[in-house]
Amino acid sequence: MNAFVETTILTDALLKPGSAKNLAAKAALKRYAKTELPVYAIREFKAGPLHYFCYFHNKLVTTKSLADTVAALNQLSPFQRYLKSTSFEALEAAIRIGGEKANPDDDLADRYRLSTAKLIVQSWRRRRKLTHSTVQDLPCYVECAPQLNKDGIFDSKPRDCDPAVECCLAKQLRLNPEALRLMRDSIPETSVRQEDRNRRAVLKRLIKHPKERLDKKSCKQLGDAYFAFFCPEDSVILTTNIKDHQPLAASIGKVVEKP
Amino acid sequence: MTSTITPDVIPFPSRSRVRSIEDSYTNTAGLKRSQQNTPYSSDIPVMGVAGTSALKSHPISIDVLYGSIENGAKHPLEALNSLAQVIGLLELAKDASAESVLKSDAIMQEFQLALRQLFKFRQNLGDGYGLVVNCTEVALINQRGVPLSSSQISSVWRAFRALRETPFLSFDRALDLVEDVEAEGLETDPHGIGDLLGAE
Repeated sequence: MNAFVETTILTDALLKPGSAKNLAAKAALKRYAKTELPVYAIREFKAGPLHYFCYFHNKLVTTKSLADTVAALNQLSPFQRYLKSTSFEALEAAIRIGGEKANPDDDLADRYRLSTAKLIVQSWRRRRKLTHSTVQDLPCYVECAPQLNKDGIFDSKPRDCDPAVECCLAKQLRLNPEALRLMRDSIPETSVRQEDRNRRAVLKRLIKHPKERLDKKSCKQLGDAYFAFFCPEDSVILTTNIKDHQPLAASIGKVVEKP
Repeated sequence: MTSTITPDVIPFPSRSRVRSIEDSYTNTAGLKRSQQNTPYSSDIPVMGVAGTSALKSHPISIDVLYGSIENGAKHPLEALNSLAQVIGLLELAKDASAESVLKSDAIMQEFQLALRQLFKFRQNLGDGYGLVVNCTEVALINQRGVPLSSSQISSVWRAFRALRETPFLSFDRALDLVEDVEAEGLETDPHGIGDLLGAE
């Protein structure tokens, strides 16, 4: 059996060094005869987790303080739900590097800045080496490495596809309206999650108005549905997010596995 | 109309002139460069400069190159000296690892303490230098007291040798050195850094 690798696996394998999730992701990738990474996962990886890492790095550059950076991130919604539960880990990690007296805050900030920059550059370097192959290139997406500018700030743009052209996936999606319908029906109409509502709306638009232009926002909102739709017949979707992927994949006869 | 521009040829200094420059710098004991005999003198790497083909047979020692930096910017030279010292420690630890893990580990602890001082030179030497020193320190912390194997010490030694050859190395080159250390099973990222951001 082959594996069609989803973004969460890419993230665990590249951005969580030394963690149990990292080991699990790497071990899972060895289970399959062939592993394939779609460029869509790279696009999601860069627009999400890698962009957060760039933001964290840049905050350390501008504040020159680990304490201020963590405090600032605690105020921001994309980080909020994760940071609060892990702030003690952060503190522990900081102390383990030498203690407050040995390493004042600006020193710690610089150590974390360097470690974060390393992960950003290294994860980008390794993104296409993690699986046997990288598949399904996106002609409307430019796969460009995060760039350091002269002030030491990482610029992670472009994170999205070219808005001037129609999403390159549109043509293939329209070829199978039945699969689109089955996937739409697998998303509960009553779901209160914004993510579900957006995905359902995009699928509905593709079914009812096939000639309508699929823009970059809609492509992004497809998210998990992309993996269910485009996963090859002889592959399973490898993800840590079974809960979201399972119903979509099962609706069109695809299989989801976790590490 | 004919051009009035004529090429100016600036000759490279002769070897005797280079030697004379080298000997104008003395160490703390008052010894000239050619008279110094340090444990690392035979290994002191040389670095090419612009016009390397012309200087191929007359390389300028890296110590002389940075030794000429005026007062107020002494860090590169101090860093080179400190790097030479830690390379010496790594060589001792490497040799000791064959006979006694305890002896080797005691030297590595000394090396770990020296890293903190070395990290201070990053502001003058740049992020490539800072990355190698920081990642090495993190790797030792991640060992949680477990002594490094001989091959791990060798990989760190190679990284620091390269760092001394080119202290102003690029971030990408520094990452190559760190990845060589990681290839020996050392973890150079602070534990929990991925979870710190809750990357999903």
